[in-house]
Amino acid sequence: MARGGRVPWGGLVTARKSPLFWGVVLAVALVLISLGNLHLGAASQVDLGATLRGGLAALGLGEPLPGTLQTIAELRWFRLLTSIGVGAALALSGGLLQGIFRNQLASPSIIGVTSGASLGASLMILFVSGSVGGFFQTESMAGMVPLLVSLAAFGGAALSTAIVTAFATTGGRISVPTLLLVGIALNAIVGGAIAAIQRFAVEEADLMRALMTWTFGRLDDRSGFHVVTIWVGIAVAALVIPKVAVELDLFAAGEEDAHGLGVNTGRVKWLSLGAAALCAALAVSVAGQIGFVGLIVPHILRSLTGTSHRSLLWLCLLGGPVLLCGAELLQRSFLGHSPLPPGVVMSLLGGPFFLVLLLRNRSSVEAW
Amino acid sequence: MELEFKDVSFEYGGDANDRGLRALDGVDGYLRRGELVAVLGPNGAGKSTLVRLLAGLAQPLGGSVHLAGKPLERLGHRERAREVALVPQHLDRVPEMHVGDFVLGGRYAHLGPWRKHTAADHAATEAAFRGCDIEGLEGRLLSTLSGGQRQRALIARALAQESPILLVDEPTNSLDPRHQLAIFELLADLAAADRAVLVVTHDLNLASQFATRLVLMDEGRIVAQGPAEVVLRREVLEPVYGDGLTYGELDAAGGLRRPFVLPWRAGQSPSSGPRPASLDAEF
Repeated sequence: MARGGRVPWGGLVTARKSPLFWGVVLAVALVLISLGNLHLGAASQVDLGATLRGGLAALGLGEPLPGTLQTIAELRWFRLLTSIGVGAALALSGGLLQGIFRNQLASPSIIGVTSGASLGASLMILFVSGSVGGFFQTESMAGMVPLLVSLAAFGGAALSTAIVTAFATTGGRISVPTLLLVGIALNAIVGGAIAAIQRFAVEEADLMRALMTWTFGRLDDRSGFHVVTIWVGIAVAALVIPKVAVELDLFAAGEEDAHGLGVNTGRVKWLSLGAAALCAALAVSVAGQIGFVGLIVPHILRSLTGTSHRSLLWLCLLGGPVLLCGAELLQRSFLGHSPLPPGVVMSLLGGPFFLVLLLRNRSSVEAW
Repeated sequence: MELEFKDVSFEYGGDANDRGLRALDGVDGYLRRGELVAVLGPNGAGKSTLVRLLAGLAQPLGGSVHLAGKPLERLGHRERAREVALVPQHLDRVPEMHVGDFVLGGRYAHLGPWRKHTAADHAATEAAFRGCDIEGLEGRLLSTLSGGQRQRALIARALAQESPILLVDEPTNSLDPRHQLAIFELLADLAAADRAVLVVTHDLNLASQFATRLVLMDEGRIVAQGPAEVVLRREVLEPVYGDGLTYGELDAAGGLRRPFVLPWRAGQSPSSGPRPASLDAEF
């Protein structure tokens, strides 16, 4: 048992403030952070007012900004909306997975979704670069590249999720421990495959840069396609929340116990896993690899509002964007406008956080 | 509402080529309202497996379980839970939640599509707290309860489920004698209030005192059943438990004589003969 009211989940059981309170706090924070992100950018002549006017113009409500300024304003909107969607998707994915695994250290990368997406994207980058095959090396295909890479990433994520769950399923039932082990094996295989691709690419600077950009995540230079993709995904995944939130709370005492109370445990696992995989796959396919959001956000929220998934999963949709956009705003404020990729920032923030997590909860970690 | 099972068999592990461990081997039986049935038998006799099958946690390999004439596996999850409540022997892990929320979890099968708790849910939960005599513990963490309190919280959750059939797996393990009695008194009251209660227990004497029917299992089969006077006899128990038991009769509630059985080798108690030298040396 953990000491002093601290629970193995790492949070305080007694919520200090209601989930509604934290929902309002996070929503206000997200609006402020968003305004900051719309204001800041490499082109200093486009300020918040201009970005807002440009946004309205893009919706057909007003005059467009002169020349390239309109494009810059639109790019900033795409960047913001993609970041919000990706943050929400990663956090929700993590919240769902931690619920099914009954383990606060679970995250989208653990079941192989992230690495599957990476492999898909890396392969596609390799193909479109012409290093292998070369059949996409035509002018007409050039505009398709981001779409193709995103599609390949999603395909990789879906495939790896399918492989992992197929291996972990016997007689229609998913075994959570097997899922973990298969995820580890798949991550190892994919890691090797990606290293092999990079070995091919090492002589070609452009190709290597393309692979690296994707590996460390990318939130600027996004398009309407990315925004729509991730927001539709979030909307679909959010439909699952009312169907699994109460059920995941009942999972806390074990799957069989939940079954005895009338929970359709199989359906809850399939819905949660499906929604989590969808979120993670789409997030990775529009923005590359950004780790730790899915790990940290549910964890912090749990310590603020308690362990109930009824509030936790909804708050993830706000907490994820606050973290991702907040980190983006911070580094733009302090490091200027050629900032570190979001994946790098999250790793630098998330790694130490993970260690603190382990230290604080060593007793419960040993009890696995 | 009646639970009936016919020719039920079950195996653990094993596959098409290799037969697994046979846990149940053609078991027949029933459970009716107003009954408190005690399922007895040595470790590995198949008692807990039977309870799991009756609760719908696993499907029998052969045979069938019917609830009010309907095959149990045809019922939806929530529909089944509204009819049959299970009190597990223990929880896989003790969730970090308040006792109040834990017991409220028993209402899951009654929740509407939006999963909102209603006044009826809270009323049933409060009644369950009263019934199990754990009022005032609502705000405590489950992990801070004593063994007896936690067992009562588990039963309270099943009561909140308001199912006419209650399956209770070894509720008195690790409880002191006072709490053992209290738990069985509670189960007998529930049966008297027209629920069907089946309890798995190793305690032959609590079964003798409180159960309306005893079912003795051994090696995956039912070897005897009936009232205590029929089952708790030397010629019935000795083939199952061996010869280390002492038999007798005591007054019970209602002026009845009831049999008792003690794990006591008559004439060989340490106080009646000379103590072995090695024991003396140790103390």
